[in-house]
Amino acid sequence: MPSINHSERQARKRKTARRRVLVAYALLTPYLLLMIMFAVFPVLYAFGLSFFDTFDMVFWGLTNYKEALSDYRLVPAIWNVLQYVLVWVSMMVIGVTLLALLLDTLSLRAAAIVRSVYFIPGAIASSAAVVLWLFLLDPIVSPFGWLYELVGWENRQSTINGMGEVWIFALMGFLGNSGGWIVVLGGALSGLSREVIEAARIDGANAWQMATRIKIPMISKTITLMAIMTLAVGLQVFVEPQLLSLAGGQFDKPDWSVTQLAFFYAFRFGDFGVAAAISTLSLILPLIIAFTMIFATRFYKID
Amino acid sequence: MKIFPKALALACTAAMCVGSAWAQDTTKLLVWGDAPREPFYKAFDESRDDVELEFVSIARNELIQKLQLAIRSGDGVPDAIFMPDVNMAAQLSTRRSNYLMEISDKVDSSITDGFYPTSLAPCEKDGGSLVCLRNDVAHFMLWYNAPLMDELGLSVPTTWEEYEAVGAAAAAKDSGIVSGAAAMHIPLMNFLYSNGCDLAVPVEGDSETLNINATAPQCVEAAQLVDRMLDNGSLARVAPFDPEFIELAKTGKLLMIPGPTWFGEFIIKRRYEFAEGVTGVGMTPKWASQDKPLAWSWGGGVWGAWKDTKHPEVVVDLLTFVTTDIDTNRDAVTMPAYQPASVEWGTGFDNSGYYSGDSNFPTMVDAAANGHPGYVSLRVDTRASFTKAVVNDLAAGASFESLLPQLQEEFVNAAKLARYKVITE
Repeated sequence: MPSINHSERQARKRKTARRRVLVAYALLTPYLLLMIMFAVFPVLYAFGLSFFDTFDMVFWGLTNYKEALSDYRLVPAIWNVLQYVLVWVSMMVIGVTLLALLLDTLSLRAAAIVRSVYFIPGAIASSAAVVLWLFLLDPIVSPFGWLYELVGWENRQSTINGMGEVWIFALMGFLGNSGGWIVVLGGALSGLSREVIEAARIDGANAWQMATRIKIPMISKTITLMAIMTLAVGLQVFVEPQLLSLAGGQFDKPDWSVTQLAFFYAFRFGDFGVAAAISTLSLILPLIIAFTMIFATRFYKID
Repeated sequence: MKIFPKALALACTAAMCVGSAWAQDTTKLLVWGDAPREPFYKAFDESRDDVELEFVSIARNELIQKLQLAIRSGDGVPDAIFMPDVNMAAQLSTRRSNYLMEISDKVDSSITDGFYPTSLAPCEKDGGSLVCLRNDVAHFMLWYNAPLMDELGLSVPTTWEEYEAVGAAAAAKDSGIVSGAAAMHIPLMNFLYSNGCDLAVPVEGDSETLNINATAPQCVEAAQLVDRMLDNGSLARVAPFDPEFIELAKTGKLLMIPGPTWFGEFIIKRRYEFAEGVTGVGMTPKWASQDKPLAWSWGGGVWGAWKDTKHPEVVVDLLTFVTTDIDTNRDAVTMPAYQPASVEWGTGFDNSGYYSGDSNFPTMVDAAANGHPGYVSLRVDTRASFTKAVVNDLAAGASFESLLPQLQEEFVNAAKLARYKVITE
């Protein structure tokens, strides 16, 4: 039987490769379609809208941006969000990594149970979590009431003032989001090569050295991913300050975050142009930070 | 082709046909409101065979945003709405969110004349054209615990200075008795506005220019009174609806509290749980230098209609009905702004036997005449601005007087953002 000649083999190889690529695209298509419909298109639409007077649909250049940037609430809102992001992202990176590492030292079954417990708060939608928190923050009904009274916080107002919105929102965010990331980091940790761990142990590494020298460097990319995602979510903080008014009109914070300002323009003034301008502007910062982090950590580099 | 249905309708009216064979005679309206307003819509629905209402319950803080979306998408825009905050009337008649119909020439002046003086001010757009009808008047009164007042041998104050003195006397010797709760926007605004302090008041004849002067002597005088009362414990440094204040009220530690006309029914009866015959209703105090009181208001919703509704006549009928129909308003939860309906409501109020004394309603009517003419509809969210500038810091222990400069700054900024011209002296 004559063997298949070289070029024929090459052609068949190419064919298989092409088919593989096609299959990959076919599998990706649903996701890509949804992403274009609900992520790419809205961003482009908002970008376009930001140059128009959305009432008469007249092009008016940078007027919306000028208006957005001259809003007296913008700088305080940016400051609030930056503080929030700083506190929350550090809380997530440190807290989640720590908890995941601790879980990794437990026996498999115990770790599974504890991990599920951590996940529970994440199952509560953030709007419901806010309501829950209003109770937690009220010394009269809160299980931590005694703690607040020790510090001298006698009512909901003084508790909220005492902790500060930044910390309250960061805590809300931490409890709501940490569970999922603990599972992700747990997955990354359990995927580490047992040989390396074994070798380290034989070399006499204690738990601390094991964590800081072996495990953390090996899951650093997952931690970076978490930081980027957390940052992206954090910069858009909206629900927590927006729903704080449920505690009573005196807690209303309609202009606390940048996203709230965009919301305010769209739905209070009916000015979708300025809202689009603020949204576009608030996309730039996360993009810069995300790209910096990706390139600084050589995120996509495969070892 | 467009004229055809109209011509038909005209012919129909001329022939006095009673709509039996004409299925299209039933006018369907989409209406939005909060839960307490549903019975009003229902009553109108029942009073008219030719009208069918579809009621959608909308939460207060979602009204504007849902309306914006509906207007923008052009789908599901309600024909009539109830606005729980008078400022919404201004917010919904701007170029960008132009929802409200002008009804000046559609509502008879014999009807508008029947409303309490100044009560339609929130519905007036520049030039005095009307964009809504007022549901209820909500001017401040002085609510008090009559047996406790007697027990302490004190009498109901008629001036704010007396109010301070009575409050101090009651709070003396660590009795724990309070005469109000200060850490909330509108109760604090009432102290300022009632003394003629202009936080955000349109200039006479120019609704686009606001007078804002939160550091004027009248403001400082009022703020100092509040500070003294906070210091001696006669005003609580919390909001009137905070659990701990409600606890004080329930345990007989609340002597008196300035509150709007709906305070008795909604707060004192239901939340503070005062027993029958305890609650007294006093005239809102005046400042010693004034001839008569100047009462700020808290709420008092308004009804409005969509300018592009297909059934303008029916919708105007609806607005008139819900605000003026005596039977419907007799059992209203708040004091009707339309005087003839209000009188009926007042009879019920006085005969309920819940309040101390049996002629409280006339006091509330008298107070209505002292309503602040500056209680109008603004595009500024005054509550949010006031809260941000004052309430948080005050609750944390700052003095009211020390917060007036930042209040001034916030109000000026917010007013300019809403495109008002601002005068600050």
